[in-house]
Amino acid sequence: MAEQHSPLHQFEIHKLIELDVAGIDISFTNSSLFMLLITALVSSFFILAMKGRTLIPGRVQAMAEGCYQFVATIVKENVGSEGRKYFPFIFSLFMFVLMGNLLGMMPYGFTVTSHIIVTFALAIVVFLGVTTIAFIRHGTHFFAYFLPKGTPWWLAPLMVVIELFAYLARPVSLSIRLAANMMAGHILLKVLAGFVVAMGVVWGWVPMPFIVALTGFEIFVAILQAYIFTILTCVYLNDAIHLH
Amino acid sequence: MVSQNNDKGRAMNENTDPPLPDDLKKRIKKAKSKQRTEEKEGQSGAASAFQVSTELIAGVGVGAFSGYYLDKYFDTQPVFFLICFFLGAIAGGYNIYRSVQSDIQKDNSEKDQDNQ
Repeated sequence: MAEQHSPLHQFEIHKLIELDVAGIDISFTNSSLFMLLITALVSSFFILAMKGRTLIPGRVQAMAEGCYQFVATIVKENVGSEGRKYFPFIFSLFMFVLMGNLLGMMPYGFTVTSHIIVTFALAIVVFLGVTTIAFIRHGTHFFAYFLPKGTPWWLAPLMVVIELFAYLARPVSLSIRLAANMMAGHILLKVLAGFVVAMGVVWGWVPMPFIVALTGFEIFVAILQAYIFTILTCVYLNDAIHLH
Repeated sequence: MVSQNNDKGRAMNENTDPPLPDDLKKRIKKAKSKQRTEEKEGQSGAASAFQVSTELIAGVGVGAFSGYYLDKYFDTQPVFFLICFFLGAIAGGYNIYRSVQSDIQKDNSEKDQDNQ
């Protein structure tokens, strides 16, 4: 009973289908279920919305086109025309994170993006991809990125190490930011909801408006964090393409 | 056939709109600048402070993690851990400095655009 009311209970992972291949646990969990659901929802949304393909969009098509336009503007402003090649990936990333954040706001939902392993997997794909792009485009000249111009020679060894750490910290900060934001919001909601029960019939009404306000705020945070994740991916991509 | 499609695609991307009257141009510019300020106000100070704090955590975390494993590899217990811990903290601070710097630059360029 007490466990049921723990604010961390919502983040627990249950195995739905046990799978074990060569000693590696690849069970189908509630997390996997929600990730599949996200993919299915996003795909079906765009397939159904663009089915009509009318010149003057209806409501649903306008929504889909709005999403497209939103991400296209981010890519154009942060990477430039060279970023157009990578638009499909960035768009999928944005929609996945956005849908993951928003599905977490549904009652009985599970927030996949509150798990650092999920966000870290996304961030490391971005990190490895961006590093590969930089290597392909600039070759060994990429290492010049770790030595800012105008560094005195006696500071160079120190600067290279610091720049390297700063570079390696990118996927970590990218993933922690998203996961911590989602987790903090959901715990706060759950704690406030616990107050409603604990304070009884008379005073239990006091936290209620806060929960309503916070729910709205959490939806805002869900969209904002998806936006920030995307914009930082674009910034890293821009660094890889143009070095600086 | 294929080249025809490509031509069409390129034509779609290029700006083929007829020139707009000056009045409309001004109104669009005004609306856009309004939109921009609204977007900028969207992120509060607390939110950006939270952003910045994760930057520091990540720097220290990466430094401590790599230092710990370097020590394990070379069997020189606290040496690399201590060095990398502080270098990681510096790297985190450096990342914060860079992100704030780019924010300031963006603000300035937007102001310049509005003044023109």
